[in-house]
Amino acid sequence: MTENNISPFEIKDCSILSIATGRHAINVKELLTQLLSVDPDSIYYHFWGKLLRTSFSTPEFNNDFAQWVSDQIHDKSLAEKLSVLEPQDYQSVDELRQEMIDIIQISLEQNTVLLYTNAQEPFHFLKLGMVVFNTSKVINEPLEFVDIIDNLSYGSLYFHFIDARRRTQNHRDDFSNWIALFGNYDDLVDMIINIDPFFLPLSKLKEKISNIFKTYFK
Amino acid sequence: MLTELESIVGASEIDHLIKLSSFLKGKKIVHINSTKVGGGVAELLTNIIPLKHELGLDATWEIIVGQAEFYKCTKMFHNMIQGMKNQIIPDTLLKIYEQTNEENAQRLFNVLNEADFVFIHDPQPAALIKFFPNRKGKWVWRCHIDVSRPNRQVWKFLKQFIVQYDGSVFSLVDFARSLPHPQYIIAPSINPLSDKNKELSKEEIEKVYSEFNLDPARPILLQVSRFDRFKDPIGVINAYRLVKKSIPSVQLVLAGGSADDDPEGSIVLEETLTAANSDSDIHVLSLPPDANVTINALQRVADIVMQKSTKEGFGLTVTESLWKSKPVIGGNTGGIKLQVIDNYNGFLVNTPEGAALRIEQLLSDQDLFKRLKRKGKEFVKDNFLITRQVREYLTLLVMLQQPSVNVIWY
Repeated sequence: MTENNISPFEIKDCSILSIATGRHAINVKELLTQLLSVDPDSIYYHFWGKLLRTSFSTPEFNNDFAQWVSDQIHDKSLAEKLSVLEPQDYQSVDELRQEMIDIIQISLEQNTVLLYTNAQEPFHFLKLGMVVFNTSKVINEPLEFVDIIDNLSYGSLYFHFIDARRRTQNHRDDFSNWIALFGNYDDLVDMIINIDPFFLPLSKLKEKISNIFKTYFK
Repeated sequence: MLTELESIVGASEIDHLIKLSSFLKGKKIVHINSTKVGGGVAELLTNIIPLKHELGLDATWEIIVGQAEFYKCTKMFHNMIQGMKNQIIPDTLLKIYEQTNEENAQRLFNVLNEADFVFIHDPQPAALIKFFPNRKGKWVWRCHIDVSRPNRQVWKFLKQFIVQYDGSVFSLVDFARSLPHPQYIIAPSINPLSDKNKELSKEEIEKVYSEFNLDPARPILLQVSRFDRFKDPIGVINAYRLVKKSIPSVQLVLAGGSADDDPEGSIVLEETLTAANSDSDIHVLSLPPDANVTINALQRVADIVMQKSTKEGFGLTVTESLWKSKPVIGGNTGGIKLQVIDNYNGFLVNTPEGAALRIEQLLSDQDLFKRLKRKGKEFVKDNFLITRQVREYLTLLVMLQQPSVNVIWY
């Protein structure tokens, strides 16, 4: 416990693995059909998995569905509509799923060419496997984040800043939730909450969080 | 090795590996393939096994052995799985395949039956599992080849064994099949410290000019691969000939070795030599399996590296070349598509004509050439080094202990 009777922040790390679900879609209609019943973990993977898996640079669109519609179906308009979806804006993956279904259904009604356009390469639904473990790093005061963040592994950053949003009741990151317990860091908490992680690779996200702590505690 | 790798990938990545390994202490891990030398799988295992040892893991590597007919059969598997048509494997060869696996199962019985984890690499040893009905551990089929459109006869035959595994691993999601167990996606990697990839002295690099009669003042195109039809060495020669018309100074090196489990290598080598037609600027080099430093040096003296495969599981030579900051012209297939990004670190091509066009473009436009060179190394560091692959293998082993759970907490 800290002086304020707040449990120390234990830094965890995680390792992820891509797992094939065996589901594929060759056109938008099939994508819609699969979306109706695919494991929520798969939808989560195709929105957030890009941050930790083997990939090239920064893709044009923010989730795998939008990227595939753009690359393979060549429908930029549907790709853009899917791309503006930010998972943290939804209370659950199923709510996000429903929004995607609505967008795709409307596009299919408005643009019947989509019914007949087949992709050269199918969309493969994947899901995430994850092993979470403790590191030996523990933080007792928010100030200590200043020295910790720069040396945090991408696995730790992903776990505490991204994956936390599906674990915590308020859908927020672990850092701001823990700092909020102290009750006297409202500005810092707001600054952390206001970071939109969806558009940043982990390297840039780390830099941004680090700058916030350094600026706040300078 | 861990200390040296830490200087490349950073301390947190190494700590991560050590932590994951701690969950597997005392477990026996066995890898099985069909050759100790030659080819990408043997190379991967050569790199991964010592690293696992340094991490304190009890990992061993065994090979299965067979007679010429066994390798003839498995080479047919290899060709037909990757799409070669109009072939049927006689039942006699399929029987030899199963018999050979049974003989190897008897020889390796104690090792495999008691192992906690068994990795079976590629189709050659896939049938071993049939002979271990009371196996103790989890068995994984690690497929390194492109099985996206397999020949039905071969796939049906192999599938009867593959369905018995606890999981499969494919290099690309495109290769995953409909199977009744989890299919994990793990891309291969290179070891930046191996003879094939380590930094070389100027003398070591320049030695290959005199050794193979190459002119350092003229552009060098290089393809490094086994002499295998799917690697399309003849297509590379055709591309070179098209380039030669407008850039007469160009030289081509086709460097390959042989693998113990590839009976067709010498035939394809002969075909390649015939296509080269004694052109003094085409250097067809049949190198011994341990010529890693030579290949390293050839990749470093090359201006452009090619991997014009028509089918490719992954294409580690692409990774190796990008690591040496070389632009790569690769066939638009398999794992090459994961590594070569058009106009970023190279070009993807579909034909010899396409390859010729891109070679001419790169040799003519120095700004483009320099830009593509810069991107390759960083890309490999972020995605395709051995530490990433070992991390994913360790994660897989941990997950296999609770296969129905997506998130495991320690």
